[in-house]
Amino acid sequence: MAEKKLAIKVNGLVKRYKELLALDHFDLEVEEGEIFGLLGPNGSGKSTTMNCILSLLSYDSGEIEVFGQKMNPDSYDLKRRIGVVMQNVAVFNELTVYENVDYFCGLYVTDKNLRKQYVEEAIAFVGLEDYKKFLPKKLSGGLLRRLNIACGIAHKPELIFFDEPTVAVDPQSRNNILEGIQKLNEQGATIVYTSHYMEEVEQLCNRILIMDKGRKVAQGTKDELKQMSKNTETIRVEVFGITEEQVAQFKGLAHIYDVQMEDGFMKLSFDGGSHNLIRIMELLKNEDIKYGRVTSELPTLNDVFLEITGKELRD
Amino acid sequence: MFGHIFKNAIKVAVREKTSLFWSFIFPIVLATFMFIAFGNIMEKDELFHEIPVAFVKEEGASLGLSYMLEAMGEGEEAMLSVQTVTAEEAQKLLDDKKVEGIIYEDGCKLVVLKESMNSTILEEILLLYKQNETVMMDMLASSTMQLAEDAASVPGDLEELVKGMTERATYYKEVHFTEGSQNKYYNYFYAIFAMSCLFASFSAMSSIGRIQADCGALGMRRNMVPTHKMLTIVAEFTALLLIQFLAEVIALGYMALLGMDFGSRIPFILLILFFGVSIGLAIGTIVGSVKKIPEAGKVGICVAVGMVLSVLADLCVGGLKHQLELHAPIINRINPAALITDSFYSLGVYDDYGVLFRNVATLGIETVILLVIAYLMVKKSRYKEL
Ligand SMILES: Nc1ncnc2c1ncn2[C@@H]1O[C@H](COP(=O)(O)OP(=O)(O)O)[C@@H](O)[C@H]1O
Ligand SMILES: [Mg+2]
Repeated sequence: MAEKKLAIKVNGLVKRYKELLALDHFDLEVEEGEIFGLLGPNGSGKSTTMNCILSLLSYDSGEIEVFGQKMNPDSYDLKRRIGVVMQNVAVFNELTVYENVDYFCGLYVTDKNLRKQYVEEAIAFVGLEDYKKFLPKKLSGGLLRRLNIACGIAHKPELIFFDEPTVAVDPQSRNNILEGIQKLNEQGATIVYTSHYMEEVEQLCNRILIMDKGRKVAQGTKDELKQMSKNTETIRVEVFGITEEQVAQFKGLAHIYDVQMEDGFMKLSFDGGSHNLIRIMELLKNEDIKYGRVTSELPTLNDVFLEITGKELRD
Repeated sequence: MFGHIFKNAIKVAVREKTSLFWSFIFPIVLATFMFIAFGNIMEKDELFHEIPVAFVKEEGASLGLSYMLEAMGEGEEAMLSVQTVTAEEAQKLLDDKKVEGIIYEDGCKLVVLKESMNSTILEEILLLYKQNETVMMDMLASSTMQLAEDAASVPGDLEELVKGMTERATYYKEVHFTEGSQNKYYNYFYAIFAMSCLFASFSAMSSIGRIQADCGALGMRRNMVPTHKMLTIVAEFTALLLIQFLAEVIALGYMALLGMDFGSRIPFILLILFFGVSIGLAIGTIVGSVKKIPEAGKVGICVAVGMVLSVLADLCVGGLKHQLELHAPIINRINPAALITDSFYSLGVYDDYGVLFRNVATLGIETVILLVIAYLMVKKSRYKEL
């Protein structure tokens, strides 16, 4: 089998902020053509990783290669092929939507006609055609994020970094952004996507690296990761007036490895078995426990994270 | 690429309200205040007006003095407006402040109410006459013609002599104009130029701040582009230089509208302004290049630097500059505010432009040094933190 070409290769990356160890011998490999997800709670080191790869941050040790070449601040040939969408909006407040995209695109593309075409395409891509003459301060948070994306992708980069592009964004813009990233990938771009929203990462990414405290927690496809968790199903039952003894009875059922009471819900975690829901319902009936809503969930990346680190991905 | 960055830098700069205020409005507002406060001084000291003087004749005196005064009161650029009156009338005119002084033909005496620039000029004119009196008398005596009071009958060489004396008197007047009126009045306006040049630092400061990765997301993005940082810095500096220089030219034009006469000095004034703006921008660039200071703090530093340099150069309060000249003259030789104002002063006072060119060259060298240091500060390849 032919080996996939690597867009990014990070080896033993160590980054300290004074006494804080932000990245602890961190390794990362991103293949060309994939959407790679970097998932971790706030402060886990996602932005630090990205900024080290981009040569914005200095680091204490480790090696970073992009497209097989050492990445340095003056690697202009590499920078030409890279697009970045930072966590915070990075535009000129004094320039309009069109002018902002044109400014950044113009630093990569010198041909006037080609540039105009690229700028128009980028603006259409994020759906800001009606806002071309708007100054950034006239845009809502979601539209601003879209402009931020347009500025990062107008020059049609081969490798694009997205650092939490959907934080504090309305659902409509969020969908627009996620669909856009998908489309960019279909057009051939390799994507590195960082987020602390597991749903987004699950939905979008081919391969996912879960990180915590500057270290890799787990890595693989969505399904591979979920298999790492012993959880196969989580059932929640809204219960009224249940006793401790009754809860203990549920714990005794086959394949249940954990029972928790959360806000009036009984949360039952299973590590296998089938027809689990039916057995639960029977017990509820036999014990004459009043119940309301019942939900059943398949395992999430949160379960994986929870099992490995002992804490929730999102708190 | 230079053009692309330059063009956008201009757009950004002209839309940045705070910097625009300092660049364009501040000098005009200050000039207006100065004009309201000191404008009447200019009217009074307007030396291109004739100096009114009363002349009291003495029966039987030689005609030399009256002839000279008359010659100086003629023509388009007359220096004097002479009224020949009796002694009593003359005194009354002086008391009513209708004339600046009385010249008595008897003994070539001058009487004035108080010392002023005009009285000095009148004194000098009389002195000039006394120095040339003998020659004049000889000329008049050698003339076979009975002298009439009209100039047409005066011999040619006497006419020449008086013409020469008038020229000398005009020269005195101009010296006084530059040393007196200019120092008192124009200097306030030159100080405005010096300060607005220094305050050009604001625009450069925010411009360089936007290129640094550790000063926000925009800086991070701009560090990811495939353009050399020095090219960006130079392109943006040039754009700001153009805008700030334009602001100074507008201020200059506004002052001219207010009635200030810069005359033939304008090319030199423009030269000073160009280098003045350069140094102001360079100061802003260096302040903006310092890491770890928030934008508001940098504005504060720019204000502080501008004020300190201005105070040292006597732009706000008087006295320090002279003390520095005595005890640490080097400071006056390198303080941009002093260099700018001294260049302006030198325009009026000296005939040669040595001081001007030396100062302007110093400003240019300082600008280049500051820019290179700033580049070395921001070029830093990777940042410790963002
Ligand atoms: N400039 C800085 N100085 C000190 N600590 C920092 C700095 N930037 C980030 N950190 C710390 O480094 C860790 C990783 O941060 P970051 O990479 O921003 O995480 P993430 O992007 O995953 O939220 C966090 O603990 C954060 O507090
Ligand atoms: Mg982050």
